[in-house]
Amino acid sequence: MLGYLVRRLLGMVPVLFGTTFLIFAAVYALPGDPLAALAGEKQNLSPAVRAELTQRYHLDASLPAQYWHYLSGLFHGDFGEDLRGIDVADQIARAWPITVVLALTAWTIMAVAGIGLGMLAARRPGGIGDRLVLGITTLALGVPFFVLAYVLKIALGLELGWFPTSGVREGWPSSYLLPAACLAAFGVPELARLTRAGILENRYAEFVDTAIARGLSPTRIAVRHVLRASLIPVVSVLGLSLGGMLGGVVLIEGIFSIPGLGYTMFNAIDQQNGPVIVGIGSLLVLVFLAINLLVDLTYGVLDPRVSLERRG
Amino acid sequence: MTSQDGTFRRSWRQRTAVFAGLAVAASGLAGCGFSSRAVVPGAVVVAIYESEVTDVLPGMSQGSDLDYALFTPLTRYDPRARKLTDEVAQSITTEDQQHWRIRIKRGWTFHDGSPVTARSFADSWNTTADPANVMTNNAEMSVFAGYAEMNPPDGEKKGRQPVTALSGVHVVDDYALDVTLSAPNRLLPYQLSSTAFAPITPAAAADPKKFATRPVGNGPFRAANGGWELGEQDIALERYPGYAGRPAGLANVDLRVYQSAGTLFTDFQADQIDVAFLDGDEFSVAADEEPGDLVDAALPSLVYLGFPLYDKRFANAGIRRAISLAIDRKSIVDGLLEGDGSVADGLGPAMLAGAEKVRCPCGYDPGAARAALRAAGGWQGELVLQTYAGPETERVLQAIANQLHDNLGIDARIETVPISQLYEGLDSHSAKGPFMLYSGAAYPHVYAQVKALLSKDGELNMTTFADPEFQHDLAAAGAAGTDARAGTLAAQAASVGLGKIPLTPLYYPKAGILHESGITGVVPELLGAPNLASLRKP
Repeated sequence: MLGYLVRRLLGMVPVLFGTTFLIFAAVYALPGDPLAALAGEKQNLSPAVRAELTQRYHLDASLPAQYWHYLSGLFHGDFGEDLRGIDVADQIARAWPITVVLALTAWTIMAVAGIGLGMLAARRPGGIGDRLVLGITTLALGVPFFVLAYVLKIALGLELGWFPTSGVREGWPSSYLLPAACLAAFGVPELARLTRAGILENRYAEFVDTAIARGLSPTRIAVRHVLRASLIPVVSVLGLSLGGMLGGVVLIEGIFSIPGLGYTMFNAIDQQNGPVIVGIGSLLVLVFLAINLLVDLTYGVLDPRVSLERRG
Repeated sequence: MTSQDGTFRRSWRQRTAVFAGLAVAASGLAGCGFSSRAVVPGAVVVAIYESEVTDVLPGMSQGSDLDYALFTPLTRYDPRARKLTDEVAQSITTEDQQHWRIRIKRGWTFHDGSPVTARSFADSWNTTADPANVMTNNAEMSVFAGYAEMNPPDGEKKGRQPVTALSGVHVVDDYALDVTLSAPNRLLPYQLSSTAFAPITPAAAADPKKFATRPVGNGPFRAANGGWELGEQDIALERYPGYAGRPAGLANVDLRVYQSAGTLFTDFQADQIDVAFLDGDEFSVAADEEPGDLVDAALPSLVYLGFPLYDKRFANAGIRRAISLAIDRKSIVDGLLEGDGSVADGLGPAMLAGAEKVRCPCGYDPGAARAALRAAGGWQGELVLQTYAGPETERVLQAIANQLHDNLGIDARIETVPISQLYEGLDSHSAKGPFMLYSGAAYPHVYAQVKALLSKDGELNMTTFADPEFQHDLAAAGAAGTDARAGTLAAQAASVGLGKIPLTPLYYPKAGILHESGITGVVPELLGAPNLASLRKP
């Protein structure tokens, strides 16, 4: 187990550097002058200030040289500062908790709604519940989640006034529920269908018959045997979708003006603020890798047949 | 199926039913009657459309409503009355338009109680002019003598001791400044009305970064709690009791930051905001739907079509004239802008002092356009028109391309790119064809627009237009003995410049302030946003 963990952690290092470099190169390759983006519509940045900024942030250096400057900062735990002279680590530190709360709320909604709807559908295959769930999930799959976000924002926020339409000033949960639900929507259909398929497959499995024959209580059979066995593919989807959500937050936080990492990233892309894009991008990659590792470790706990020792 | 088996399957159903019910409730998310108001109870919520408020020191200010709430400059311009008045200044006088004496009123204080003196202004201007502080308003300080020495070209920097003060700014005593300009400029008092020239405390001059979001200004409002955290979406302002000018009408204002105009408008409709400044498409929608009261706010700006004069295809003025004559500005303004613009007849709307004297040759005459094109030898090949990405700019430029096709038979197409990319092309003289741009006046006199757009070293001159006759007339305007004379001579210079058609004015963008009917005193600042100090809530 420990050996597996160490090998996986070591394997993450080149992936992390590789993706960081890719993001860095992509920002470098963006057409347009970041200083012009900084000056905005006014475009009155003086030549002396331009020269000073160019020199300070090595804007005239080659891609490898710029990347090296960035990396050497990172080695010292320094994310650097952006073109406005603002510390990138500070920006990440203040945005991070908001995104974590949003993502975890969305994730919880997704897990409860996805597994719950899957169970509902599995109750009576072909019944009303099953068809209803099939209908809902088909609809949810067909509508992109950002379209859903705009529609729900107008319907539930503006027209009905149930939720704030922007920001997080109401705190958790009221400010987070609506954006989190929109973010969750993209994962629910897959989860519900997987759960349904898993339960239907396991309900009549031999090990369930054995459990019944042993006289175990129905609750114990439902939870410990059927559900647990059905959750193995669900866990991997849940884990990976938490990673996928990190991409979704950029859009959802933009739509709902939630000042988390996505919103900061949204602004940074708009302003061609390279250091912030690379900083947040790399961090999201790191989180994604960590979640993947966690998912793999969870397999071993859920399914005794999976041995991590033999996988290395 | 055994009976126990049956019991299990039934009870399984019951259990899943409970869980599924919970899940449906969770996915349905029953809410509970929501209403949101200001962070500070009783404060009026004003929306500010900016991605982030990162630095409000005068050197970084943009003339926003927040900037004018926190800082009061030497003079103030009222865009409605078109009148300039002294604010912190007691008097601003000159004999030769190049050497000025500025006297300052006693009794003005910063939000920390310390006095505003002549030194406070000198400190501010020196801080902004120092390139080491990399402030966006650095270029505005070029009006003062000594700016060039502080900001030498790259090649001349080596081995020189950096100069850290403007030689043209001299503190006479606590309440008087002597200022020498880099060139005569009759309109200095107008220029000084910008928050870029507002005063700062000695501590802010010593460490400007520290005061970026913890401002100590001299304006009608001060930042509650001393400032705000970077990225915060609400900026709480409270009336400054020691303000020496006309006190603010509201005790508390909650400025809410929006990065998207769409979200801002939705929030206004959802009754989350009391006052909002809108432009572009959102302004058109607001004007249509009128969810509250709307106050028109003219903007001191112009949208124009510029010609890359370094491109041989546009060397012939006849070609440029033909294109200008073939554009039906009125149909664009009426049909596409839906009230958020007016047809340009000069270089800026009437709210700018002196603007009424400047007139452009901007008529629409397809017949004359065709004749001009024929006389100039016609047009071969494709014509690419460029502008920056945005729903409104794209619509307008597409309409122009269609008109050029219909009226002149030119195969015109449009290309939109991010603003930074567009300016990179313009700066490196590689525009693919005529470009549509926005130009805002740096200060509330049309002279600012004339100089920025048409003079050889104008900061917004993207056409590379350079004309000795124009330069001569413009210099005469700067050296004029009175404001009125300066306006007349600026108009004369503009007439010379515009007559050669380096660019053709299209329209003046308009904006509006949307507000709840309970709010009074809604008056736009120079850049259209509401004057926060004049807002009242009876």
